[in-house]
Amino acid sequence: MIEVKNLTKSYIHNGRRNYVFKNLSFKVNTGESVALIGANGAGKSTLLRIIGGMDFPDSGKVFTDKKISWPVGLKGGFQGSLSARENTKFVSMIFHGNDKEKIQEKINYVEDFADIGKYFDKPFKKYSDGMRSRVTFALSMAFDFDIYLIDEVSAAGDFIFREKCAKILKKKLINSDFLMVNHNLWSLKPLCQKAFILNKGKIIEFDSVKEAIKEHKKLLRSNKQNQSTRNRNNPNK
Amino acid sequence: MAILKNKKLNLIIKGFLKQKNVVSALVYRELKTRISLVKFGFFGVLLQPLGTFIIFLLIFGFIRRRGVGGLDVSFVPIFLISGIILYTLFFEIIIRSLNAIEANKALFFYRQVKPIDTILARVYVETGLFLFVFIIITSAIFLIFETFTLDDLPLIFANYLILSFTGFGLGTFFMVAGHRYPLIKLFITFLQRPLFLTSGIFFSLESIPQRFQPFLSWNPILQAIEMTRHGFNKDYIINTDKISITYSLTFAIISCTLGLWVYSNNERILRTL
Repeated sequence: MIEVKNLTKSYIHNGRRNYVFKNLSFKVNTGESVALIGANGAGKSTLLRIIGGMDFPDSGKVFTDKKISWPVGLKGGFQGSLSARENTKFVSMIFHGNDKEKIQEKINYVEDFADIGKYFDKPFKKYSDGMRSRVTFALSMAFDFDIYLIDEVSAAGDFIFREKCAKILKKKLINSDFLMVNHNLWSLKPLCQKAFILNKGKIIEFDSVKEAIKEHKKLLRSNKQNQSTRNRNNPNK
Repeated sequence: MAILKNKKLNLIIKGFLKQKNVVSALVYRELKTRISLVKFGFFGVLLQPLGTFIIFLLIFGFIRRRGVGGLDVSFVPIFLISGIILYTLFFEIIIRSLNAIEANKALFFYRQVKPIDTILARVYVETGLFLFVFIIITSAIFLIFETFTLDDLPLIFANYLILSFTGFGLGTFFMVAGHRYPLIKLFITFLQRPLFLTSGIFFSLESIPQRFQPFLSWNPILQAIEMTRHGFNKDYIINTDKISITYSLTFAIISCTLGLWVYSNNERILRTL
């Protein structure tokens, strides 16, 4: 269960305060996987980062009694000068302390899943983009969380790897819930039961992903139309 | 009420264990980069104070040829190495704490990792490394110069730890301050040279005219260095009015309190990427 209460997040741009969202509240029950839909810049990733505890809201709180993952798919959390093996060991140590057996188990899992051969022992900064996403995804899947935050993950890797990703995600869905962001809207449908549209700092809840996508497309078009009419009205701007 | 208290205690213990895991992970990461990125690994860490030591030893041995602090010339190697090691330890801790956030930014991705953990890990690594270096070089000195003087080992050890705690406190303080006002980082690097000259690395406080002594004796590095020399050989003269472990300890406690207080008020700002 995740409960978000009165979340406000803003940033200052050109001396003016812009609100990403204001007094946002919603609740996700255990057993529900939710697709988070919205236009670019609507604040989807910011919301995920706040829920994941990497970013802080101006006010408001996130309550949960579950183990929440870091945003899967974001390419962060790797020390460039260390190899994937060393990075994996580092993260395993955070969760398992000095339990050598468990650490080795995680390293083996990541090495096997990422499948990048001898590059596994080379510094992370020398990796290609594809290799990076393979390792990042493998590392996220190595640990068991109750809720996975997933940010645009299916864009990564080649065809075979993507199939592997889809398979493992389906497997994870048995015991865990997802909170997903993806611009490839139809890939959300088989994984999520519910959908939230994030539009102008507000959340609209839907019980089916299909409905939400329809509404989202409508909103996108109308927003665009509004913009163009506004531009026509004051051409100086 | 009792249950509530237990719950709180449980939470504290759990939090402590979690932090221990994070710090040990960071120590692992620190050792990997610190040892393997310096050329020749641990030997590189050893070489840095050893180089300074040899240069000063040549100056003292061939040009000055006089004893120090009421002792004859055979105490010079120990006299010098105490100063060099403690000074290097202190400044390595300060400089590394200043850069701890920048160097570990990527790892704040995991919400378990807090900025203070990166400093703790760095202080731990530096303290251990230089203790090792200290032991190796002093053992070598004892063997080469055939002068074994070790009068008060606990005093040496206590001083070493107190100085490293002082470094931790001040390092944390300057890390936060430097994050808010980047100019402070520059200021600290400038401070390195005057402190190198006035910390008593190559002179004893007693050899300075009486009226100038108070200007130097406030310095916790100088305090630690003089006490350590006294610990090696208790005939080494220290003015117990000016040099005392109580002063060093107070300085360490105040700087740790200050550092942690400033840190706890700014943790959020430090973590925002």
